[in-house]
Amino acid sequence: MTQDAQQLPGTISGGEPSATRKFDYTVIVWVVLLILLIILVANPIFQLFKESFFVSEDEAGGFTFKNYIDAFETDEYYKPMYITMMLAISVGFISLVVGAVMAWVVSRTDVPFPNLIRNGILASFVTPPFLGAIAWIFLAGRNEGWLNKWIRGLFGLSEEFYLFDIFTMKGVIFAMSLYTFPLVFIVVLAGLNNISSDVEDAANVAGGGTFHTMFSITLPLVAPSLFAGFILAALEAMILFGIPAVLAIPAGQHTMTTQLRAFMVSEDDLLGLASAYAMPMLILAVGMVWTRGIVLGRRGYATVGGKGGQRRPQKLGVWRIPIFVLCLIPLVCAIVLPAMALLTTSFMKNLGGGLVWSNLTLWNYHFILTNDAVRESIYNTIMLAIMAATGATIVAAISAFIAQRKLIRGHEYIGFMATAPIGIPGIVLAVGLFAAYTKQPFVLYGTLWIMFLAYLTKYLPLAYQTSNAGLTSIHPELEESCRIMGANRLQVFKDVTVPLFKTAVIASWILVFMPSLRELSASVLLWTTNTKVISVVIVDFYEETLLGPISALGVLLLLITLVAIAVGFRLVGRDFMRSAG
Amino acid sequence: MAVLDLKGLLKIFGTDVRAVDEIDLHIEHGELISLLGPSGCGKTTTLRLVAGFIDPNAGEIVMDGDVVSNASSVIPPERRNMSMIFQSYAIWPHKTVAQNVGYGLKFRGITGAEADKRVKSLLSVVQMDHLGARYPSELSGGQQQRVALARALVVEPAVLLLDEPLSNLDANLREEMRFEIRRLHDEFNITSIYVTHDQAEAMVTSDRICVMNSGKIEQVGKPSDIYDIPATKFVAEFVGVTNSIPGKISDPELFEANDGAKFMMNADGGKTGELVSIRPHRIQVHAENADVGGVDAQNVLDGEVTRGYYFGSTVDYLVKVPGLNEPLRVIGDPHQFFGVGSKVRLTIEKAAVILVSDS
Repeated sequence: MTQDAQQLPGTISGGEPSATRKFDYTVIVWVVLLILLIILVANPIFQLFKESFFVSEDEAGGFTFKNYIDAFETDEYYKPMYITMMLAISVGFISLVVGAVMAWVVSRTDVPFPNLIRNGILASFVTPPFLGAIAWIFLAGRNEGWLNKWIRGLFGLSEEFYLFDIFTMKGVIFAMSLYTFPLVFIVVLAGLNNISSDVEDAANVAGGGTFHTMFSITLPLVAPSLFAGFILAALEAMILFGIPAVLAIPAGQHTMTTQLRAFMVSEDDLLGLASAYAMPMLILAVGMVWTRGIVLGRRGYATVGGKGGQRRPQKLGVWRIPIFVLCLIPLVCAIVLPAMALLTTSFMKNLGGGLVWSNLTLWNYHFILTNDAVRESIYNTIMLAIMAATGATIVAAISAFIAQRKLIRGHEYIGFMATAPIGIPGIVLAVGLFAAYTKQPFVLYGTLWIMFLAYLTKYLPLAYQTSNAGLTSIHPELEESCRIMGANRLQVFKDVTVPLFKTAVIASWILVFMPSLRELSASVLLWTTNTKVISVVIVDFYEETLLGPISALGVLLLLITLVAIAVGFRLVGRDFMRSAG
Repeated sequence: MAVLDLKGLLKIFGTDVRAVDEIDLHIEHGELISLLGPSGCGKTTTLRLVAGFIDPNAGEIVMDGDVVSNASSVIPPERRNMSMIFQSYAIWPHKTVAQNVGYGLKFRGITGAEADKRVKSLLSVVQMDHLGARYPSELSGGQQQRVALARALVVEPAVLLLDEPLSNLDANLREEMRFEIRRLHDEFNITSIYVTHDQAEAMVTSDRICVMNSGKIEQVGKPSDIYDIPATKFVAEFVGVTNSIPGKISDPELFEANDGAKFMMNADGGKTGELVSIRPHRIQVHAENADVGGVDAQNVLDGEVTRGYYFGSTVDYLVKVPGLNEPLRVIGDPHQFFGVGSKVRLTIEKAAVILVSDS
């Protein structure tokens, strides 16, 4: 340290006394991270595992396989598994075909307004699937559905006739596919955009025709994206709770998620059975996410960038307009029709009364804004979303910073830890949290905190990926150049790191805030009378067939989401939706 | 202003990678010296050691008589009064051109109107005065490079460090910016270290070139010395094109190639080496049996053209001569072109035959 005391001619005086003395934060950081990991992931999963091997206390107790035997040998419980698998595979394939074809059309052809199609598909994330499913009841219910009525009117058919019936397995598959095909679209589009058209041109020059090139060059190159897209869609179909709750239960069918909830709300204590029942879902989901990660080569989140570049689009010729119209159909079904159905229903007195002056009312809005339970749920929803977004963003930003700057020993494991919850289905996580935090010494059940933990865990990977991507784009030389110009570490942090990192932090906040607003699959197991959220109230009202107030609440939820998106665009620019996939 | 001394500087990465292997280098005040070498030779590590971004394992860096780095203590970069130009330019994207350039001034107690004045004047030196309010994303690569130069120079640093500053520019711009960097150096006369792997860049910009290989210094000298009198086979082959002929000295003025050919050269007091280096353009090509004058003043070899590429301003030949297994590379005058198979007579001045060591 002797040289530090010397005053260098021509160097800047003052500043920190020593440059080489560094406090080792390793232990503190690791202790905090490990505690978080234990609270959020390890303990709930461990408790889930433990419960699955114990029968409930009023019986004999002790270690047993009874839960597993009950879960897999009872026909009544076995059938939902079969249905879920069937749904996952069907939805996966439909999404794959629709999503991949639309991605190819947008990426490789001269279809008009490709950006309209792309942004429309991204926008379909705005509608929560359970709201979409409810809206489709208004549209395609067997008797009262508007589309059925319209067709009857058009052809003068009897009241008995119907073309669509949403309360069927086909209806469930249809509604699910509407909200899963965008996942395939995003992954495949990213895959296609990463293939230089030179590669395809080279095949053309070598004598391959358009179709030969597509099958021998393009298709093999995007095969990993196709596979990953299929997995994503199938996984989503497997873990969705809202759509089967709305459409399959009235049709007399359970899926694994709705069956899981049935166990949890049962009069009997079936926590052990529920835990055993959740195991295959947990293992399958985590396995699928890992497979996807391996197939995509560690690129966990695909990005939809504006990488377009110089491409020679395929000429669609006379098919140009028909294909454009075909591409609009999924968008109309996913966004336009549901939004219209909800909006009009929210202003109607009587669902069957049609859109006439005497049938219009503001009562639904009056109801949701004056009903205490609903008002409390709105407050809870917004509070929870703010808490989850803030919590996840802080944890993610700090751990990403530590990992990228290699600030502590073992920094290479931080990313793995922060993204460890990825793939744990929300409803399985909720069973685990319930098992972990309903008993002494940590009684969180009945408070907003247990839901906060669920949201935090569920969205931490997303926040981490966003922060990490933001930090990666800050070249170390940007900080070094600041250093050599005369700034010390703290000034570099203030003048360069924070301003450049800010965008990613805001994006991560909004990306957690938005899905937290409509979280259903975990909330539906963890709510109590005082801790209802909007999505839970909607499912509640649905069971009481309060369809008008549901529509009004749905419109309100969409409005809050749109405001969040608008704020995001304003602060970050349109790129912030990039990692939404 | 500053005189720099690197003494026995050692940097080990991991357990045994000697990235900078005990080098000694003295840099005069106002001198521009290049560190030239292939990637992985330790030149960038040396530069970052000088900047204070990394700590040496042994040795020291002395600036105007004061130790700024040694194994136990390193003065941080911000207190060295140095500037650095980075390969990626490292222009802060959230600050305007003027804010980028003016950033370092506040740490030197220069603010307000005086700071504005200096920023303006430096921007006009790099011909960017009309773009002060722009953001970096609105600038071309060359313009960003100029901003980086202005930002580095405005603080009147004692030492300017340049880390492959032109490697991200396209060829035309690179050529233009070489001259620009030399012009700015002549104007400001700041002690500078310029890291590059491009020999032409080093030739044009530098007062002296320090050729590095595997963490060690191969040779330090004026560009003309490095080119004309390379000390080692590595320098001869890395800087320009050459014919390296292995053999031994049999007499202070005579070199005997392993394959039998003999070359006369100028005696160089006590210099030893295992090879000679002969630059292709120092070999003259004549017609077969041409009268080339005295054989005591120059080497004369007869051979046969095995390849001749016409380049417009030159012709690039390979000529097979007796007593050498490898054909000689020769750059000839295009006005007299010899096709493949032609018999030719080559002459080589004694001064063009340079003894080098095979280190």
